[in-house]
Amino acid sequence: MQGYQIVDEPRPGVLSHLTVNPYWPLLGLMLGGAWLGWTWFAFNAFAIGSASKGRELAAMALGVAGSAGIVIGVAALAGAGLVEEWTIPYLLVAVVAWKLLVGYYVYFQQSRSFALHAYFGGVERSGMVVVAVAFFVRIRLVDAVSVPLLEWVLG
Amino acid sequence: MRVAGGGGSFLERAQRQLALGNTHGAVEILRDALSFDPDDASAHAVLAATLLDLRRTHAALHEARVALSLAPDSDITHRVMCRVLIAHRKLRLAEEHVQRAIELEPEESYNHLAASHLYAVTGNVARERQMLEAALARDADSPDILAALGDHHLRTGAVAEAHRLAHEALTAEPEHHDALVLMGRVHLRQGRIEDAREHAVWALRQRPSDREALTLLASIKTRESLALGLWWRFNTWMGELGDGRSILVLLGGYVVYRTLGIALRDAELDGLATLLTFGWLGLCAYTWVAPGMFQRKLREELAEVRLRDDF
Repeated sequence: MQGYQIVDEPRPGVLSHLTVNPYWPLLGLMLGGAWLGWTWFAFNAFAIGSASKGRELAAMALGVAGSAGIVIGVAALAGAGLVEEWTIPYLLVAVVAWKLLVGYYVYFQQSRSFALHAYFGGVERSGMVVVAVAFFVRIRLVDAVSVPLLEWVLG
Repeated sequence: MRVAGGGGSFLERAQRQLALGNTHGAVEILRDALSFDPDDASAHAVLAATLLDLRRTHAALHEARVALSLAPDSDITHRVMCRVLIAHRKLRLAEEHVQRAIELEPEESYNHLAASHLYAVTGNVARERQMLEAALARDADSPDILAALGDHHLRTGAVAEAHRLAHEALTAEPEHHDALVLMGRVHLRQGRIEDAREHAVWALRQRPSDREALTLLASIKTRESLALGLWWRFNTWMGELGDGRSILVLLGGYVVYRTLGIALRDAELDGLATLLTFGWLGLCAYTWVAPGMFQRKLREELAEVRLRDDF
């Protein structure tokens, strides 16, 4: 890529050789948890030199804050007796939906930069091993984390 | 609007690539043009339109803004901005720009054509027709205008008139993409399935991801087999959804699945809940492989159909 740069084109940095297709971090989010998905998305944004890096990072920060907000909100409602106990699992579906919403948003944003990265012949690595390892690590991690808030936000 | 020494030839080359359906090639030529002269408003405007064709709407808006800042009194930059704003669904602002383009160059047929596209999107059929007729009055032989007017007639039920205009457009330019799609739709409406398919395939060979041509082929499939047609329609529909709507569809499905799953387990219907989980996993697996399957079927379709010698 030389000469005039179009505003949505990636600006690859020193990490560009570690770029993965954004569907791997998305799969990481689904199978490994938010701790992996969002960290990986953030790393990949820098590796690709994503033109929408700012928006992606802001969305992930909102993802963490929103997940925590929903969990705290549900706990507060339950603590105040405003919702019955049997409704809690239904209300907590919102946490997973919220994390997926943010994950898909970042995925679509990053996919555009990745498509251009691939178009210009950029390196692409497979993320399969990371996702497979994360899937098994997650189970141990969930067992190890004894704080429900962290478990819901990062799980 | 400033066009630098080499700019004119760059633009001609880019437009030739666009006519051949090579949008990526056109982008590279326009990149060269702008490396040579970053203040070439024409190159920025054509680049904006090209990026829009590639669905790079954010970059298209940026280029259209640059073009407009460099040439605020050019009808072309206002027209391009109108197209870009339609893609961003900023229709009121788009109308302001297209009206400005008409004010600047009232005799330019493409300004009226752009206005007709805007009114087609807003559903103002009377204004759309008025603008198409104004465009045709200024350029009676343009296949772009003939095809757009034919499309308007087809949508309003005047099939014979649409057929006449499609034929006229194809006489003026035998491989005109929009006219090919229009003729295919006319044939489909007239029940001439094989003719419709030939036109759809020809249009898809020019632009393999064109939404209109894919929708036409999906409609043809529906006429042949309801099940296969519905599958084609579903995939075309999924392909048409923008990022935002795709996310909402996927999340909506997930929330329904999870809520239903919890409700079934609460009701101690574990067997049904397990079945639901397998169904959901199957759907997830399908959505991962479906785009690839659809593209393969499309390639097969394009390879299998042989056009008649007299097509």
